[in-house]
Formats: sequence, C-alpha cells, structure tokens
Amino acid sequence: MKKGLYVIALALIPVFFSACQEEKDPFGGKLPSERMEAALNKLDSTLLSAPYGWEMQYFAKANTAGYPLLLKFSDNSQVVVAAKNRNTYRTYKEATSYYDVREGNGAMLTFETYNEVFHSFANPENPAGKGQEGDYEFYVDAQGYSQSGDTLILKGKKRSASIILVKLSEEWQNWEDYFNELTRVDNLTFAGNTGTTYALKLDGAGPNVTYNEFVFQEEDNTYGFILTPKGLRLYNGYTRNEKTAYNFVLDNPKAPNKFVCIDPDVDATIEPRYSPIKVFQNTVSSVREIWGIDMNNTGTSFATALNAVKDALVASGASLAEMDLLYVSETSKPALRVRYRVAGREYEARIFFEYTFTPRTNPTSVEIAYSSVSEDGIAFLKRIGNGDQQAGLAMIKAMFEHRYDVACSVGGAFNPSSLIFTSKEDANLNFVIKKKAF
Amino acid sequence: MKKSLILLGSLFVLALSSCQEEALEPKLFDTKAPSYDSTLATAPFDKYLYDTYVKEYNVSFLYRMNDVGSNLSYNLVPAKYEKSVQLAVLTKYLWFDVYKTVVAPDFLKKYGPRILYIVGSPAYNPEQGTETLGTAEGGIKVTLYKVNSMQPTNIAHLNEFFFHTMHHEFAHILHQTKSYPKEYDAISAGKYSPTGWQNRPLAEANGLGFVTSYAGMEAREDFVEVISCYITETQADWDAMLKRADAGKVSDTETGKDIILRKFDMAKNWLATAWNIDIEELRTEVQNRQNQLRGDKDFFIQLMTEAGFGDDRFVNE
Repeated sequence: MKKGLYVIALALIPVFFSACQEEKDPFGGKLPSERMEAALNKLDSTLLSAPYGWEMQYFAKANTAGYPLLLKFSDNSQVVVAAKNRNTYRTYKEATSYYDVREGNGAMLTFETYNEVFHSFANPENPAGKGQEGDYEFYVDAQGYSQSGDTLILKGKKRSASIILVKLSEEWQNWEDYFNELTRVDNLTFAGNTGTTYALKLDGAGPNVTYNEFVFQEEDNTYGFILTPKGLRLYNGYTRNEKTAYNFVLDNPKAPNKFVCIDPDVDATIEPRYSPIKVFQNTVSSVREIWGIDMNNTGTSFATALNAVKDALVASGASLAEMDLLYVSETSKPALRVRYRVAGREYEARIFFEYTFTPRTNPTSVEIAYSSVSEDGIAFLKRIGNGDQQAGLAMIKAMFEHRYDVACSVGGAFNPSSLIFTSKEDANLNFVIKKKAF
Repeated sequence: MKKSLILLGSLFVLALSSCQEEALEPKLFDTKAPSYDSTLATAPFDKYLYDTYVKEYNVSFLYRMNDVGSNLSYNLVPAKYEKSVQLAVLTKYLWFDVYKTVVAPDFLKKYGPRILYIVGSPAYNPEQGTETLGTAEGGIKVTLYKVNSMQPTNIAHLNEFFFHTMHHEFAHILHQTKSYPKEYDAISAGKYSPTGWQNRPLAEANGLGFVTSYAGMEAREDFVEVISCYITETQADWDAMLKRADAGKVSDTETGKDIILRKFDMAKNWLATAWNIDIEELRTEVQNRQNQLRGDKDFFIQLMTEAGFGDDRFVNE
C-alpha cells in the first residue's frame, strides 16, 4: 500500500475535526482519518490473506456475462491475474501488473497499471470508443466482508457491478487446473449451445430461456451468470414464490442432466428443454445447424465402412476432407455433404437422406435411409465405386443406413451440441456429430 | 478517427498567478525526502522518476492510473508498466534534456508542467468521431494517452502521439506566461473554425496558411502548432508542408506558404526576444536526437540501459 499521498491528507484532518470530537461519536471515538486508515488496512490485509489467491467472479456490468478471474496479491503491490476466456483467445493466460489500496469514498482497490488479462474488460479500443466498460477500481460493498474472511464483495466504482471474491482452496493451487475444470464444465453444458433453450424452474415452474455466452435471455428478462467449478451463479438470481435461486451445481459432475440450486430452502433447476435428438431434429427441416461428423471418434464397424470410402478416394487420386449432416434449402431436403479434394481442388457432393424419428415427439431414436442424390453426388459415388454409382452408394449406405439410438456424447443429457449415434443392430457402428458454428 | 488536441488552458492564468509570486522556483512536490516506497516492486522505476523528474525538475511523472485524476467521461485503461518506463526515459531524452542543453538547466523546472500523467488507452470522443491526444490543465498537468501502443523508435509515431503534444502544450505555457504578439491573431482572422477544423483536410488547411488542421481552430492553437511542428518535423516534412501550402492562394499577394512563413517569423522572434530561445538551435537539438533514435533499436536499448532498464521486459515490450 502506498502511503505517501493520504498520509499528508490525514495529517491535516485532525485540525478540521477537532471541534467535532466533543460531540457524541457513533464510531466509538475514532476520527474519520483513523476509520479510513483502519478500512485501508483491513482491505489490504484481507487481499493478502489468500495463500492460493482469489477467485474473482467478474462482471463488466451488472447482470451481464460473468467471467472468472484468478488473482494473487503481493505486499510489494504486484498482482497476478489469470483467465481463460474469449479475451485471451480461450487459452490460459497470466499477466502481472500493480495494484493499490487507496482512499476514495472509502477504501478502494485499484488496478492501476495495465494488466492484459484484467483490463481487457475496460479497454475502450474494442469496440472502438467504449469496449465492455468494465471497472478496475472497486469499493468494498457495505456487506462486503464475510465472517469467515473467505469471501469479499466489491462494487465497481463506475458501473457498480457486484464482484465476488472467493478465497481459493489448496485444491486449486495450480491455476490452470481451475480453468481446465471450468472448461470441462462448459463442455458438459453450454459449449456450442448458443441459441439453445433451457427451462429455469423454481418450485416446478419458470421461464424458458435462451442461452448466449453466459447470459440466459427470456423475452423481457436477462439472467447474466458465471460458471463455477461446480456449476453456475446467476448474477441477480431467479425469483418466484418469494424465493430466489442464485447458486447451482451440476446434478452429476461427470454426466450432468441439469443444474440444481443449492441455496437453502430453494427448489430450483436449470435443464435443457429438449431431448438431445430433438435438437438434431431441426436439421431435417431447417438450415439452423450444420453437424460435422467426427471422423476420428467412431466405433470400429463405422470406421471399417468409413475407411473403405477413404481408401476408394485415395485409389482414385482424391482425399476425404470432411462430412457433414445438414439441411439443403435449395432442394428442401436433409443431406450428407461430403467434401473431398482432387489435385488441390475441393469438391462437394450431396447425398440426400430421409430421417424417421421415433417416437415423433421427444424422440429417442432415428432411422436413416437413402433418398436421392445430386449431380455432384453422382460424380462422388461413381468415384468411390470405381465408376459404378450403385457400388458407391452401397458404401455410403453401409455407413449410414441404419436405425440409431441418439444420446449426448459428452457426459449426461445436458449438452446436445455433440451427439453420438449408435446403431441398434451393432453397438460398434457408432459415430459422433458436433454442431458447427456457421 | 480524427485526432484532436483538447487544451484546457483557460485555468492556467489563475493557477499561475500564484506561482508567479514564488520568484523563480515554484515547487509543488517536496524534494527533500524521497517520495517513493522502497518496498514496492516498482521501486527502481519510482526511484528513477524521483531522481530524474522530482529532484531535478520538480515534476511528478504519474504512471499509476487514478481515475479521479482522469477525465471521467472517457473510458480509459492504465498505462502498461513497461511502456511507462520507456516513455519516462524517452521524455527525458527528447524533451527535458533538450531544454536543459539548449536553454538552461533549470528552464523546465521554472516553466514546465508540474505533473505528467500518462494513460494507456486512447481517449475516444465517440460522438465527435475524434480522439484526444493530450490535454494540459492549468499549465500544471499534461495528460498523454495511448501509451500502451507506443513504438519507441518510430519517430513519426512518437511525435504524432506524444512529443508534438508535449512541445505544443509547453508552448502554451510559455505564451500564457509572456503573451505572444497581438498582431499574430490578425494574420488569419476570419479563417479560424473553432468547431469545424477537423473537417478540413490537411492540404486545404495548409493552403489557408495553417501548419495543421488543428491550427485552424483558433489563433493561440495556431501559434503553438507552428512552434511544435517546426521543432519536431524533419526539414523534408516541413518543406513538403510548405509546398502544399504554396498551392493555396489566400489573397492576391500571398499563398498559404507566405502566411505560414510570416507566422513562423513572428513565433521565432517572440521566442528569441521574450525567452532568449533560438528556435533553430532548439530544433537542431531535437532533430539530432530524433535522428539518433529513429529506427535504431540498439540506440534505444543503450538509452534504456543507461537509465537502468536494459532488461528484455523493458526494451522488447
């Protein structure tokens, strides 16, 4: 803590306040200057009291997307800040800079030299002129200190967002582990699910909300939230029946189906509104999604059929680039789109499928059948069939023309952005599709 | 974005009136006791600032952001520590040492600003589509922005964002201390555009007899722009500007170039008579220093090393 400036100010204060001293003082006889100094010392010593650092639940503005940061303060004014978010290009990054605890309208924590991780939320250059307008100067909230000393609540000086700091436990002494855990939670839940609908329920009822980067959106309401290693925290909570749900954890840490509220006496959940296959079902009738087939993650029977296609392409001087399942608006049909390369040029082939979902509402299985083929698809089938279109088609049918059970491929039923199709006849005939951004 | 210089000189007269009575050694900061904290990780730089700026010039070089000290209407971020060190070293080399060498060792101590405040980000004015490069408040405090994108051996860049501004602001301080000739205001009277200057392309401004677009804002800005441009620009850049100005016919007898040269002569004479400063000598010193630094990483490393900051983190940032 730098003391030079405020010590001068403090030295003058007793002169002005000497007249006040005779009145009854609700602050136990302490001068304002003494109270300020005590407040500064308390904040500084609290910040320094976390041997493994602090988890900071950072919100640039109230009720927006929250971003976890890890911080470690040192008594030489150095602060190390780490994050893994879109501002750090989703890779783990640490940056060192300098902080101070100084006098403002109370004790103020200020990050006063530039920190690439921390100030990325305040930098006006992106977008030009404003940026995300996040704070880097904070006061301690009126109820800021917890009894245990493990939690500290700050308030942004300009934007007034509440920022919660939680002391890190020994479990997270390796900070990268912390962010890897957050990535794991994100992959199990929201990764790839922008635009997906979830049901937020308290006492069994509540709104359907649409997800977009750590914000749930209802028609008129926004619920900003932040991921935690065990679940999430809603910035403002969700209130119904005079109860408010803030803190949620995954119902199963490895294979979650929903988030469950852990606040006392609050029965609340957040769960996907549709069965996993329902999300894929849209592909059959709209251009909402493109699903890439993960060619490195297949069962042995599927791999055999896939390798036959690959080998046939190589034998004809071509190579397979990618395969997607999507909806083709020109023909109003769902299709398998194959991209392959011949002499450095990329070609596209479309083979149309029919899907039969069972049951029709909230389905759990699907039957895929060949329907028709485009002109470019005929060229592809002839190429892999060594000039014989039907032989080529048989190779594609061997891969796809089956009845499948469909489930989330990552963990439980929460994240439908990655689905596994497993043949009802042959458990080794399975493949994974992942939703692509487009 | 167009760039503007927003200069808050109006408070200066009030502020300086008290300083003037303090003979020749106005001191805002106590130079008797060290004002840096030796327990901080930044102590080596804080000591450098104390020795270089506080003790020698009674100037406080503030690199730690204090938003209360900033214009709250901007969205700003602090200066990066390593960039702050670079700018402190370069400011000594390209500004303070110039006046120390050419004018007098204590000249900037007497007349220079008392606070240099640096900010990492640009200061955008989104509604006007402009960007403030620097401000001078009351002749006491000069604020410089955009320090985090400073290119330490790119002279054109350094001048555009930092040193042109420093010389500009300092020229304000000088003319607010000893007025420039009243006749200067009459040279381009009627051609200033206080609110529309940013819409004048450079060539048009030159043709009207202004060294920059901003010089067309008002006479006192015009005056300090002439001085600042002449000191910091290379002869080639100055000549190119005069050539553009020569294409503009201001009256039957004068082109923009003639007007600019009249203004320059007036500024030159005023510096000589009011301040005993030879602008040619000042310019030569600045240009020599700029030429040594221009594109020369080794020379920059030498400057940083001499200041005690030769580590990779400081020279390669």
